[in-house]
Amino acid sequence: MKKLFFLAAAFVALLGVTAFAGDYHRGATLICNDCHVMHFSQSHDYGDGGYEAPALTSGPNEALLRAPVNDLCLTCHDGVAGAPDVLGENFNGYTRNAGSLNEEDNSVAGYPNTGGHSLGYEGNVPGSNPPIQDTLECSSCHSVHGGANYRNLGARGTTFTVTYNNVVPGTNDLTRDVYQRNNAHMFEGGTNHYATSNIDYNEPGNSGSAYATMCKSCHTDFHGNIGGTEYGTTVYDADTTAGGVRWFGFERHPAAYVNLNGSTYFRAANSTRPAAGFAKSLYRPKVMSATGAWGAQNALLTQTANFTSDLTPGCMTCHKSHGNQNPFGLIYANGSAELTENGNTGATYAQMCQQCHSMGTLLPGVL
Amino acid sequence: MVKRTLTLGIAAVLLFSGSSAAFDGGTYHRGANLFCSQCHTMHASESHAGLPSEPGAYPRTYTPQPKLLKAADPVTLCLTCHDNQTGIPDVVGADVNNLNDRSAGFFGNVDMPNDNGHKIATGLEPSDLCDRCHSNLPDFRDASGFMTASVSCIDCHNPHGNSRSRNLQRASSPGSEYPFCYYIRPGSTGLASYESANIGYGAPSGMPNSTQGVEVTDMCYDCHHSIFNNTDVDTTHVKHPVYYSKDAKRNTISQGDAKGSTVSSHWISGTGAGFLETPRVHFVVRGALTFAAAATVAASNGVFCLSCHKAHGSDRAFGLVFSPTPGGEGCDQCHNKTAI
Repeated sequence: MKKLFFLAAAFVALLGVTAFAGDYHRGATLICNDCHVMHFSQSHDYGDGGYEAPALTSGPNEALLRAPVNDLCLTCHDGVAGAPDVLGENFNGYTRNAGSLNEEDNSVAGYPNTGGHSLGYEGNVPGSNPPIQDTLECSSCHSVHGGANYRNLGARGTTFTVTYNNVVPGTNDLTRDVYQRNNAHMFEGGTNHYATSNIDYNEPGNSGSAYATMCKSCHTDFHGNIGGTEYGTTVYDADTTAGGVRWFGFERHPAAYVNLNGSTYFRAANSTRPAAGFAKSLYRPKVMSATGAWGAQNALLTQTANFTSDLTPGCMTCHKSHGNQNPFGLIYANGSAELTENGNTGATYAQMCQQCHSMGTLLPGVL
Repeated sequence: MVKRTLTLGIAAVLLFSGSSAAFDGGTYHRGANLFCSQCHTMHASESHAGLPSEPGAYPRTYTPQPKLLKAADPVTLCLTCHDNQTGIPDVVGADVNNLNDRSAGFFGNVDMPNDNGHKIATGLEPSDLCDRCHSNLPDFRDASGFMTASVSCIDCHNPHGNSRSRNLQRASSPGSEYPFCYYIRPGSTGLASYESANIGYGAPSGMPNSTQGVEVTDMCYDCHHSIFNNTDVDTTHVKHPVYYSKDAKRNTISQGDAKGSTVSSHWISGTGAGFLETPRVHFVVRGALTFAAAATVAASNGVFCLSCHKAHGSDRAFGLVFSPTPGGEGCDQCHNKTAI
């Protein structure tokens, strides 16, 4: 506890740094000795009032790292106040938008290695084409030296952009992929920077998904273009009479392009099928919006402002990017209450599907 | 494979919840027993199981299919579980579960001609339902396709469940079906709820169909409508009567007593001709609202499709529940002609 207090105090000490536009580990907050040690020996602190990394343990390590890469990241990012906690229970309390990673060796209590991304996983990456077989590390998805992308995202060997409103914090720029309401980082005293409530997804151009493209850099076959091989080449325009394009016949679930009411199977509020899910839920999972009109939680969507013709499901509608306690990191949402990292208490994955889809009789809890 | 099958069976048995409630609302593949991932895969890839009821080897990949199905055709997909998997109703050929008599009987092999019941086949679309028999639409009088017409599981069963017995749906207009007067013997759960002896059939008695239900005949009528065109000639049937309240066709076995065409007392006795090789066939009881009422033998019992036929099929021609030869076995339960 003493150690944690020290670390927290060190982060808070960084508050002297003016709130900055980017994410941590970038630009002025890219601090080499946070992660590296030149001689695997350190007899004292730097004494500059900044964060001081904990004592060296196992090493020396490749790339002059203070510890093996995942262990190194978790030095700060697991159970430390002032830094986002990405493994297991959240030390900092808020509902994490990215959820929780787990360890492939199943060493994280309550977070099995079936619940999303598993640090240390060495098998084939699901959907990778050509097959990728590599060890999953934090750096598989994040640029360790920072970058222009949201959350320093950057997968090895691939190029993509996930933009966010870092230029004018607090103002949603619809041409950028992510809207972050409060830009005060945790080391700056922010308490919800990484919280679900602080983040929503834009849909620049009303098509595509930067996030899905990023996921595709590993899960190659899981995302593509309409009519492409990933989603199936025989996706039909089933009904244009209702004022929009409706689709069916997908061979993989779309992660972009298809608005909620664009599916033949969407459970619309005015459907002859029982209305439920998105159109009737007070609490809804994350979707993309080209207009920034996601609708407030604990309030129904309104036909005029933010109805379903604007809202598009993406990867994060169903999955936590890091994971959670459910299989595949799925968010079991039933619309009944504010979403936790796992969804709603007692909800099932079928209820999650029924947030959008009309199949089947209504399940208990689906409003 | 055996281990997987056994596990699947156990899982299925655990999940089944047979019901004796009116209209058998406890059918699988609906409500809390509707599991999307049993039939669908979002990304054609599964690195591990999502549910305890999905055991077996992982990771799995699938050939991407329309509607995110795990197989190329709904029939193929259904039979992944419903053929030769212990603990799950087996609807093709011999019964791996060794039920005494499956209430719906069984199909022949997929895509093969079947003189013993419905021909189950792949490659069918719900939208081509009428075309299968009426091959030269819009000429509806031409039903030449009937001889070779095929069915898909999802013609008659709603794969996502509904509030109807066995998730039955009218093939031509899914969702328009009334509840069915279909009752399961109380206490018959799991596979026992699929035993023929544990099923009873009712018929409405004037209450709204939406509350009292309709005979299962309504399902058959959807495609086999021409056989209900029973115009008597000189007070003699030209087609065997079939109980169907919606067309005000309410036969009773006793109706033929006066002319000697039926012998209701013989039907009630349940012995002798017709009963020698064939258990009492199914019948409908007008106004029955429980299994006990639907199982009550009386001269007023009505004859309907499932009195003589298995819905899926049987080991006899036309899916009959009895052998018509020699001596009209089965027929004689009502008609008692052999005794003459």
